[in-house]
Amino acid sequence: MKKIKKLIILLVSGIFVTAGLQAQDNSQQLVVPLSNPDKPGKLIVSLNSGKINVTGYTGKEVIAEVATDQKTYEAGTRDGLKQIPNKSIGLTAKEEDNVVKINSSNWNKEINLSIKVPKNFDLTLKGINGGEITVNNVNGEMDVNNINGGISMSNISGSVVASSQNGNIKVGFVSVKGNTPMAFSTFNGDVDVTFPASLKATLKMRSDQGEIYSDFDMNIKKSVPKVENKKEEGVYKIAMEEWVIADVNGGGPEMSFKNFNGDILIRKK
Amino acid sequence: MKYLMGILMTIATFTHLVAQEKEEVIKKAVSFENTSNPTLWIDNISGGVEVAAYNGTNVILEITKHIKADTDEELAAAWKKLNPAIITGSDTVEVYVEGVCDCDSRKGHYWRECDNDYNFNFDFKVRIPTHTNLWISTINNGDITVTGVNGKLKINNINGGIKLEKVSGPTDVHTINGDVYVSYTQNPDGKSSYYTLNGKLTVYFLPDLSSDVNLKSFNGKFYTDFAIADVLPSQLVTTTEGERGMKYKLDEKTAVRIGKGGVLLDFETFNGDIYIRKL
Repeated sequence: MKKIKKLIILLVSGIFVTAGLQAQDNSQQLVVPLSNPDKPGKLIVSLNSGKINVTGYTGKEVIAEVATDQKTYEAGTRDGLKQIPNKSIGLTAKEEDNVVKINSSNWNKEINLSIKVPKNFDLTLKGINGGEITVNNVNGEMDVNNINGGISMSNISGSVVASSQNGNIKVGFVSVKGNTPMAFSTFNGDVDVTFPASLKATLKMRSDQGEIYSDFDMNIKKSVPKVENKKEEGVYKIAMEEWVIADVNGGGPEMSFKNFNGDILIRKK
Repeated sequence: MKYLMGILMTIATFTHLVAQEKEEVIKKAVSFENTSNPTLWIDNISGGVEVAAYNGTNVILEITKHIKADTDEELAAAWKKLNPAIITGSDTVEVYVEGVCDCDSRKGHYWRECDNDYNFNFDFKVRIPTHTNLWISTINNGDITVTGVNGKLKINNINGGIKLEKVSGPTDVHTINGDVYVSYTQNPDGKSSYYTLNGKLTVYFLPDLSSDVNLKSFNGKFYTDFAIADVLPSQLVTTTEGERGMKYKLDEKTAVRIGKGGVLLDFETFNGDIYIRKL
């Protein structure tokens, strides 16, 4: 019986080792050391086409990994010639004073960028096409913007500003930095944010076509009519604000949630 | 309407009457003082360059000078000012067009005084000994063709193609708007590069090619009938930026190995396809 167990362990570890090797074969790495490895840093990523995945880890370097095409030939042929795949990534990382900027000069090809950062790190991530931006296990100030894809963040501490046009926004906080306003907005998609139960904030919510759900005890404030007086046109306009404003745990910094098509979900952890 | 036609007709006849043109073929023969490893420079601006190897030792030039101006006086002035010039060194012959923009093109093109009232074109037809290094450059109105030459080949064009046939030697060709075509009698024994921004790039090698090939293109595709022995990883380039910054870059080039590797061949286009072919 013991022997069998050992065998199984061997087999399993064997599988893991080969899997690890394969992953290395299909990707290329950029290892960026920081100028002050003991201080928090900032990562700025801008990608036209592709996925961005950022994960906090216990190391002190920023490690960017790109999956590359390992095919020898492309499927296409011409005049009896085989096509060589264009593997061009053109991935550049610049580091100055703990600020690491990563971008790709590639416009027409999707790349999958997977970046490991030290756990205390600020992030500015920008994506346009080709996929989701995911962030895991990071503590810092985060500004995430994705145009045609969702944003999914989990195990986050600190503060987040997340915006998208055509994608869901999902953020899960472990802890929230006090006295810092945040914003979560998308046009087509759900906004789903989970806060610790101790959250102190003033929530400002607006969903044009969808509903707003929450399990927090909210003290909803009366909305104040907004008066617009355009003198030069002789127009006097009174509009009711379409924002729902509510205090949680006595109120605090403003947090805004906005979408057009989709629901807003504010969850208690 | 008739009135308008009349005006147009007048303008047409007027310009037709005024435009003046003149053409002349200039023939010259120059010899290299030292024939062990000679180099021919041709620095043209407007017009094509055709170079062919022959079984002799002299450089035989046939230059067609063509100038077009609005008036007789302007034509005469330009005709006097613009001339092919030849400079000979011990193992070098350099041919260029003198008088363009009131400057010596050898010392760099100073385009300050370029308010020309004329159009000029110099077409070069040159015959040279087979073993000659070439440095050829032109800008407008012509292709560069080289046939049968063995030597270091550095060929630059801007608005025209480059065609090298039955050549051998390390090659560096570069054009902006034009196709590049190269066929070798012997595979290059030194680092070679082939570039066109807007054009198709075709190079024929002998079947025994063994080299490391770098390919780069924005919109183009890469084709070959050689067997790809290996796909090489992108190179990591690390540079210092400013005083404290560092830059890490995975190169954009696609690197593959043909045969056992060796000579570095660099291919790059922006909009055209790249063909690496077997002869």
